[in-house]
Amino acid sequence: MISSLVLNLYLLAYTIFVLIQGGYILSRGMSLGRLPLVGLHDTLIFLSFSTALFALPFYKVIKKGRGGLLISCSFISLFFTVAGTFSRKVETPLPAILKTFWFELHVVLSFFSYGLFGIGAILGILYLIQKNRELEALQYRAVLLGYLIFSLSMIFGGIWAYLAWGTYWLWTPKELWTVMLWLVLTLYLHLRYRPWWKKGKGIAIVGIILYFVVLFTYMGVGLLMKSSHSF
Amino acid sequence: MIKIYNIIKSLRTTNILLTLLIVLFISGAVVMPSNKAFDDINSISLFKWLDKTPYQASWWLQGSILILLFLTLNTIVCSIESILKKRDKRQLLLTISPQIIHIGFLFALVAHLVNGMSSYHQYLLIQQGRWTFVKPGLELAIKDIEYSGDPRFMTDLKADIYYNLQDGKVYTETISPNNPFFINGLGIYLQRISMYPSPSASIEVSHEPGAIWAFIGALLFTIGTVAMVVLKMRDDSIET
Repeated sequence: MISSLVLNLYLLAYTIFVLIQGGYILSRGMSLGRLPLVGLHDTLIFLSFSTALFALPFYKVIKKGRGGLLISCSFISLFFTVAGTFSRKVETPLPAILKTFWFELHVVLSFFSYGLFGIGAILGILYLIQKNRELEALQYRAVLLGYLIFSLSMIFGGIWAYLAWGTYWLWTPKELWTVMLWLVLTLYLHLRYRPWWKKGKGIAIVGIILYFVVLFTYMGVGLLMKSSHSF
Repeated sequence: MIKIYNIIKSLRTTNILLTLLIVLFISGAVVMPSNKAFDDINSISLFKWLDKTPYQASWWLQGSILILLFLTLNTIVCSIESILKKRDKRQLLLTISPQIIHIGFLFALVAHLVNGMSSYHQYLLIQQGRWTFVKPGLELAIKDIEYSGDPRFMTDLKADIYYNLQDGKVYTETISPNNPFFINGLGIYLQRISMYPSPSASIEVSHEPGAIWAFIGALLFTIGTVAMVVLKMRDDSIET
């Protein structure tokens, strides 16, 4: 058990880390004259920031497992920060097709939702270890809120695509994986209505698996497949 | 008959159908990238593409359409059952918010169906000053082209266009990336401009009749999901 003094100090350091990340994103945005959301460097840093940021309200609400949540989020966030630091920065001006707030909304909301799904995965792991029902309930809230935000990001992406390319939907690997992720989320939400899934470990495991789908949708598709979202 | 009805309305059926859809889409994501049959899938309507494409490439998509048919039936029956079972006015929002989500989802499916039957995209390279036939009753010409930045990496671009309709008059409009103009059910989009060998613009002409259905579906889906999130965040034990 971590003493509350150590936990509070850790929370302070964690909060400073979040503020530094936020400050970096802001300063990079100001130097570029736009939201820094293009390329691996910017998106990894934003993902790191989203994950770290959304842990804080859950930390406030959680009764048991606070230390586990904070430490796990720190590691994940730090991993993305380091990965982002060693990734190529896109310093060129934005092409005309990306100069629209629909694109910015689409990307910002995507990464906010990814952060929430990361929190959901951590809460699921903590639930499997501690078997505390509160943790599973919080995982559900994280995923549900992430579902709303992710759905909105898809909608705004569709609006942007309609204004940019004359269609709200394109058959490319990225769009396909995005819909797959949305289907996995929908499946998670519907499985939870089934008592066997809700009471057991099954739903928590689905909540963890979907985070790997998130990561592949975000990075795997962009790096490995040719699509409108290639890095 | 009752047994079939129970299967159709069952949540277990929903979950099985969703799982099957996920598996089919994963298959599609594996098949798509390396198969040339998909090169023009975004240029013509989906059903036209399915008609001309070998089954070896399109099987996962055809399977998905079949699953979606069953999912549509399952959604409709489940929603009706849900509303009929829970008629307590105190829980009105709880009862109807998931159904609004479902209706939004169904509108999105209708959008894809309508587009799948009759959408099309046409790509034109129009040289400055030359009239180009688009369809009966519509011709386009490029009046002026402007851009900023390097010609190899333009950061802003726009084109002033002329268009004439069957009334014989000539109209003008300005288009730029993310700022198309719409006429007679068509969207006119500026994709690229080139100054060499002579000023010209790559124009896309798009017809997507399903777009309005998708927009309405998205709106309903959002309203329903926001209501659900607000209710569930307060109390996860609330059953919808």
